[in-house]
Amino acid sequence: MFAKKTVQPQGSLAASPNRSTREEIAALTDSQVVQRFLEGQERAFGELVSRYDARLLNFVYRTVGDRERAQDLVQETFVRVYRHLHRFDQSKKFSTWIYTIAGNLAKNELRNRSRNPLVLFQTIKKNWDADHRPLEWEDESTKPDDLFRKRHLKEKVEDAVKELPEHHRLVFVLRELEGRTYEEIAEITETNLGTVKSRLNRARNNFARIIAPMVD
Amino acid sequence: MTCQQFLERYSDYRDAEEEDPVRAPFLGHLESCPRCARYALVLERGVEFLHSFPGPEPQQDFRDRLRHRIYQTELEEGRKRRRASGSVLVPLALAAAAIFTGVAVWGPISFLTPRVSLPAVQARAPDAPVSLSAPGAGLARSGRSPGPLFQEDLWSQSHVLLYEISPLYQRTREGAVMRVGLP
Repeated sequence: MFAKKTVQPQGSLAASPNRSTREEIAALTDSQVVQRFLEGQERAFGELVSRYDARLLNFVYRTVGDRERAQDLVQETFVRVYRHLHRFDQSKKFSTWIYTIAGNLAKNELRNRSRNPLVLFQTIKKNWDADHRPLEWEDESTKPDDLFRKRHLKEKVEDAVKELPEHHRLVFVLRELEGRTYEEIAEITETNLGTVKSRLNRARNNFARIIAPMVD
Repeated sequence: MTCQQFLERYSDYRDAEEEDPVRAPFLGHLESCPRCARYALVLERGVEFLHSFPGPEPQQDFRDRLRHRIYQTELEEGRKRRRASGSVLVPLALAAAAIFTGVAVWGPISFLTPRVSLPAVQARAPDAPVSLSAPGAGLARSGRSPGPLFQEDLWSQSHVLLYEISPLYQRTREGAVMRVGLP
């Protein structure tokens, strides 16, 4: 009787844009997608969101340790990308740029949490200890039983990342979970290569020391 | 390679490619050191576990919330731009009004006021000063000589001066003129 009217949502994040356009954009590189967006094709931004939402969420979650807050920070990352994409230097890698924005937001989040003087002191002490503790294999004095280990393995391994000092955690997640190169990590964290290598080695040592009792 | 060296340079081993010759000394040490071998194993297994656990997925309304957030941000930016341009326009408008008012008020006056060139005023040489010399009482008391300023006959009739400046002057004018000798 009445023709079923399908309403297409407007805007760059439309749920079902033209299929061929969507497929065409999906086949492009990040730089090409960015170029399309800057030329006025708003749907290209949706493609960027699809490519990076889960990855950024995993990265930010591992860094700040809070799922809800991580969602919020990733949204803020995309808002900033949307507003400042015209200023992005297209000779650089887009992924490095977006990870830099997300990494800075995560660092700010952690910094804001340390505003309490006691928390700040504990954080500083923890960071200093982690940078100056002798490298070691594992703490053999504590070894839980098999049942405990199996039940709590996931939780303990995730907690081991959260227990890492912030500056170690960032490089550890970027290298081990995101697979970034040393150069990319240096750019994202705004440090030099030597610092990245040093922090990564210490992060791995701390991580291994924490989870060793849980691993067979 | 010692165990300490192994720990300190472990990342060189872990991040090198499979066939990279950098790994050779590490592999040699791992074969002979169970402790370092366990260390490498723990780290590998730990990272494998991390990869095997599913990471958080974006919430179902993630895109809707993001769209709304971008819209609100753009709206706020537009408001800020309008406020900024407004805040510049108001003082400019006031300044323009002040200039216009000044021109409107002073303009006609400056345009319509006739400019007349007048001849230069030449000062006339003063008349010969009237020398008044009188041995007034005050001068006598002070011991100073009266000088040529005061004429003796004028001050001898000092009440005449009083008549000249008093309301009685009109009544006694003729008498005063005759006595002083003025034309």
